[in-house]
Amino acid sequence: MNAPAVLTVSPETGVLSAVADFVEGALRDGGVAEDIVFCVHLAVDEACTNIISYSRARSLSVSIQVCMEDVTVIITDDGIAFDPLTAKPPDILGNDINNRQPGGLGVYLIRKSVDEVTYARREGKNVLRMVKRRR
Amino acid sequence: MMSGTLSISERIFGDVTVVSLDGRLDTTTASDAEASLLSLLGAGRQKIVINARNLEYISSAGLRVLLAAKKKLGSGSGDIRLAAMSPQIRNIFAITGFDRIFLLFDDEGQALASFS
Repeated sequence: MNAPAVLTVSPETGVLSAVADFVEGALRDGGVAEDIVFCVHLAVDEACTNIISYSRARSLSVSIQVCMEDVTVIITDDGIAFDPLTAKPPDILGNDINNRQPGGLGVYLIRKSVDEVTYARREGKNVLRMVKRRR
Repeated sequence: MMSGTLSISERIFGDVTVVSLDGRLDTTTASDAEASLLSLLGAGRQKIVINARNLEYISSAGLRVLLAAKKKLGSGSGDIRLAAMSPQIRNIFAITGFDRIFLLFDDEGQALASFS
C-alpha cells in the first residue's frame, strides 16, 4: 500500500484548480481508470467548493490513498461544524424547471459519484471520508 | 494539462448560435460561461446549441449556469440544446435529471437540425 498523497491549502476559490490537478495527478499516478478519476475529482471538487463557500475554514487538506481495490479520499477542514450528508437532496424528479431548487446539487453529486461517504467532527475539524471502488 | 480553464467560442448558423465549450465548466469558470450565455440571450440569440465535444468536466456550478440560462429563456421559441457530450458528462445529466430538462444530441448537426 502506498502512502497517501496529501495537499493542504488555504481555502479560497482560486485553489480549486490546484486541488483538481492534485487529485487527477495522484489518481493517474496510481493507474486509476479515467472514469473513476472523473467521479473522484467531481466528489472532491463539490466537497471543497462547499467548504470554501460556507465553512470559514482557515485550512483545508485533501488526502488520497490509491489501493488495489479502491480509492480513499479524506477531506479535512477546520471550519464550522457542518455535516454535508444532512443536506436535503434536490428534487431531481421535478420536470418543471421553475420548481427545481439547485441547492443541494453538489452534495447529491458527491453521494452519486462515490461508493461510501461518511462525516465526522474530530478535534474541532470536519472530516469527510469518501471511498470509490475501482471496479 | 492545466485545469481551471474554459475556452468559449461561438459560431452562427442562421438564427442558431453554436457555443463550443473547451475545458472545464466548474466553480472557477462558471461565471465566464454564464456571462457568455446571458450576453447571447440579451442580444436576442435565443436558439443555442452547446457543443460539448471538448468539454472535459462539469460540476454542479456548471449545471447551475445552464439551468439559469434555460430559466431566462422562458417558454418562447428559443432553447438551449446540447450536443456531443462525453459519456461521463452525459451520466452527470442523467443522475441529476438534467437530461429531462435539456434536449441532448449525439452531434452538433443533429442539434442544429432539431431547430429547423
